[in-house]
Amino acid sequence: MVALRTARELMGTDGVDTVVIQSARDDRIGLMRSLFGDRVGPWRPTDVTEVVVLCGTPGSAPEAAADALNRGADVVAVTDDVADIEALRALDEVARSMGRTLLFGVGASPGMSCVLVRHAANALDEVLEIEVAMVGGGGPNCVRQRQRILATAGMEWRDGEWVNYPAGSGRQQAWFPEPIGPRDVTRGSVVEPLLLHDAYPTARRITSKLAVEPATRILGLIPRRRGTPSPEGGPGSVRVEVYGTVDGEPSSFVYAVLDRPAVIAAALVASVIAHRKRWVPGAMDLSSWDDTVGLLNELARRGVKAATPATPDDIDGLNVS
Amino acid sequence: MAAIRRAMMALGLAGLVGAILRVRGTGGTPPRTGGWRELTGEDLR
Repeated sequence: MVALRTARELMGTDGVDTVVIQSARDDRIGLMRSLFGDRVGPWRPTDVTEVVVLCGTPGSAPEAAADALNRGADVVAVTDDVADIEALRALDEVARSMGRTLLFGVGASPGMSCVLVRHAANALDEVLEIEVAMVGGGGPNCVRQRQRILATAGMEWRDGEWVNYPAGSGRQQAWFPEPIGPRDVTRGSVVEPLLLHDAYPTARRITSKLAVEPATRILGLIPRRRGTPSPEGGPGSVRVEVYGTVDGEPSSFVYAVLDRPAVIAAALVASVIAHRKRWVPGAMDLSSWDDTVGLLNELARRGVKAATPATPDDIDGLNVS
Repeated sequence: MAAIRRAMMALGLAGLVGAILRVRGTGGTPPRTGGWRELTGEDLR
């Protein structure tokens, strides 16, 4: 669903003339052609593409990215798999030598999470602590990937070292915008700590957790047949809390985005492509994207709007939606 | 047999209590009053 959504978003992006799609499902290409006509078509090996967007299954992105870079294309990879991210980071020299850009982790989480953290960090003199939480999945494959992540041990950055934690540990409540509200989140093999540590080396603590379904908390130890997730999943949310200092005084920011994760990912991919003039050669994630204001405005134009907890002044001024 | 039934009842109640405790989350950052608002103006500079 992320690929289909992304293609639709790209159709409304300045500078995008045609979109070619490589998919195992011919019906999706047919659907897109029925909506957008000849501007959409099936990918052919002879196609010369300027930007390749990768929305495949875990394990598929590194080889596809290397192939695209060697054919002279920029790459945007929507992946949350730790092994994929590590392999894509290793393509930095290839991208630089080709004068091309490889943006990886451009999804809801990682991706939107990194943009929100960067937006908060831009307002701080020093970043000391980062907490990321996410709920939801962008379609059946994404939901299954989330379940795998929750079942795999992960790492956090704590006081100058990497600490391993069992999957499902560290359960706490995170408060997302309504209608999601409070949800339990736990550890898993999430990517954000790896990406954010490179971007914010002064941070003493970096955590990232995912929401757990209520039934899983009760039946987590009992193998059960999981029902087929809905085609695009329900509403999801990405929330970040960033603590630091401003003029030597403690300060913090809380930001969140609420929408279907596939919608968030698709809008983010199209938004970074719309700002392609800012790309530089190399492989990088969105923690390095400096113009968060431009990106957030572009996302808002596409209906994906960042939010922050309302203050009493906001309530008095009736700014609460 | 009565002792076995009492033991099974105790185990069942303990399991129910454990399940309830697993359902409830702990800790977390409490919400601020008034919900959320979209980033605008000063937030986007």
